[in-house]
Amino acid sequence: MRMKIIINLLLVSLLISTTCFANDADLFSYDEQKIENELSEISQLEAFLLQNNGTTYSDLLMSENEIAGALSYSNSGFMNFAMLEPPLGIPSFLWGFCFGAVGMLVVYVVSEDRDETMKALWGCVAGTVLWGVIYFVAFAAASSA
Amino acid sequence: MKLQNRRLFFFCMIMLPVFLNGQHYFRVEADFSIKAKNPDSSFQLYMGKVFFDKVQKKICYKISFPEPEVWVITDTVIYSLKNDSIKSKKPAIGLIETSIFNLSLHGNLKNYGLENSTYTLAGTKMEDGLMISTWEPPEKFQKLMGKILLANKNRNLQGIVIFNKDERILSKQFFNEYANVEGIDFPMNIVQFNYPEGVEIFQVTTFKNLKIDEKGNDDTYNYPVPLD
Repeated sequence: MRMKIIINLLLVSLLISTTCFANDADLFSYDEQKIENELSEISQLEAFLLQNNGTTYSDLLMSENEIAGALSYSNSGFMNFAMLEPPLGIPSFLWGFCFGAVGMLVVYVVSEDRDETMKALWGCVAGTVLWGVIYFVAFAAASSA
Repeated sequence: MKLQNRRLFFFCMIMLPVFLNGQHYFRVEADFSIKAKNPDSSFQLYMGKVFFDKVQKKICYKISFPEPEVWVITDTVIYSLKNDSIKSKKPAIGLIETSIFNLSLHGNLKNYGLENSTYTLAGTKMEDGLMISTWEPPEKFQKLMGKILLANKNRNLQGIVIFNKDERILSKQFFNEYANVEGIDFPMNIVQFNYPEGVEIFQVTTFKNLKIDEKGNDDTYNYPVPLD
């Protein structure tokens, strides 16, 4: 009886580990045909543009190009699509938190965005408070020693 | 040997690796297209040329479609330029170092540069001909960031899956159709999936006419960014 339980447990653990492996491999596959089908019209447009160098989106709209109707540039700019977002995303808050007033200044000068600067300010305040607490605790510990 | 000649000899010996390194693989130029599907099922298409110079630490995207525009990525700022005037700028750090161009020129694309990052290799396994490696962020950042899985085949990076701290997939990228140009392996097709708010959106980036270490076009490789 005990042997049967051990064998069953071994089989279950083997099954679980195999499943884990399979899950990871599955992550690295996708339906290429589906992507190709979905982008078929855009690929046609790409081929057309390669043959007609210098044609812009405005030109296509003026000529009432059918495929141009499927395009939309209202949501986001090129930056979102060229893998230009920082990989670890350093938000304005962290600029202020890590680099204090200098970080805040960087955000203000570069982004010229009031909301982003406010986030950096809060980061700066949080960083200052944290360092103040650390300094106070360290000072108190050193005094009592 | 005279003292002056000896000094020159030692200087050359010390600088030799720097000279040799500087002579190889410092520029990439290619035609690119990005085809993307928006969450509302509409599409975006961008076409143009991209230039990267390792020494200047600049990536320059000269966009021809939808409208002529230039994007310059530097070490700290992304500039969007129209008619050589700044249209917008945004702070950004680490984009040059982690760009596919820089990683390829340095031969670090196979591990996506993670070997030189704060991520550590937690394990590897072989499956379906893929070498899958798991990379974990440093312990103090594990409340902010998740693990990264890489898949390699024939020493080339095939795919990358980025998770958030709750083990939810943030992004998947697939690197296809590798071309060997001047000894550099470069993926000419990249398929990327993102999952904002649970909705799958994707983009396909295609490169053509890849040139490595091109001579000339210096003004584009070091595109001048005007002052405000």
